[in-house]
Amino acid sequence: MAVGLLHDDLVSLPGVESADLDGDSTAPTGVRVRLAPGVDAAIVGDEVQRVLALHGLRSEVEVAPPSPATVAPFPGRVSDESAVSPSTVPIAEHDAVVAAYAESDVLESVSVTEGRDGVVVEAHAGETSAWVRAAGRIGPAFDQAIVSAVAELLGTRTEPLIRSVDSRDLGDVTVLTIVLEEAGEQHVGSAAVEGGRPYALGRAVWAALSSR
Amino acid sequence: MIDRDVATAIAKRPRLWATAVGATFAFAPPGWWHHPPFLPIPDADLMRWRVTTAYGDEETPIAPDDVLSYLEWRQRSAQGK
Repeated sequence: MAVGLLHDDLVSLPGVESADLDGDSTAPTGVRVRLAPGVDAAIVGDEVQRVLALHGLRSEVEVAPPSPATVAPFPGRVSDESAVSPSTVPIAEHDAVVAAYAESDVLESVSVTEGRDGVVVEAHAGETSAWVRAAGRIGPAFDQAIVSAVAELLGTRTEPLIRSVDSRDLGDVTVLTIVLEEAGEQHVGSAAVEGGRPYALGRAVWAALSSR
Repeated sequence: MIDRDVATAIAKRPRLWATAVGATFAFAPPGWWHHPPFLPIPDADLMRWRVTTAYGDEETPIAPDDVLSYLEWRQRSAQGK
């Protein structure tokens, strides 16, 4: 699937009737998807999550029961534990709603500097930044430095090891998918390569570690 | 991992002392004050990870210049906020 606008990608999924994005369309704070009657909500929910991951968004998906429910405000920050609980919106009978939450604290930048000090990766998210020296300019050593920098931003104190990094050309866009292993658990994240590879890899790592 | 050369390099740069103290606390394990020796000694696993990332293996001694570069970056970042 080529990655286009998030809204268009969501509504193009079979079984999705409509999609509403809260906030900035490129970094929404919430996504509501209305499913067509009779579809398997769990299957479509998986597809919705896949699309959100392709856009570098963290998500928590809940399939609401087919009955009217109260609107709850979408969270501004997922770091606020109380705001993570999924909410539902009023729905017609037999509809299902998927409520998804995007990471509002996005990875802002990944920069690479090569100079007298060797290769240094800097990553920034909000008020936080990380500085990591890389053992090399290319290959696994460089990727590991990006993982370390992003992991530090997320407060990780155990080493996430790279199990695989795959790059897939989907025609209009290339998507990076990374599998990380941390303390015996595997985490997967994807991101479209829209600028440089370091930033895309950083966003994939961010998505993977944010899903813990 | 922080050897005498690193300590000496920092000692010669008083303007980095406060930043070095802050970095020491940042690398200390959470809740260090609950456990002996009740000092913010950098987390050994975290240091091993960062050294491996920086040099490709955990045995390579940390270069004083790299520590100074990190502290200078940390100081610049703090001043920029």
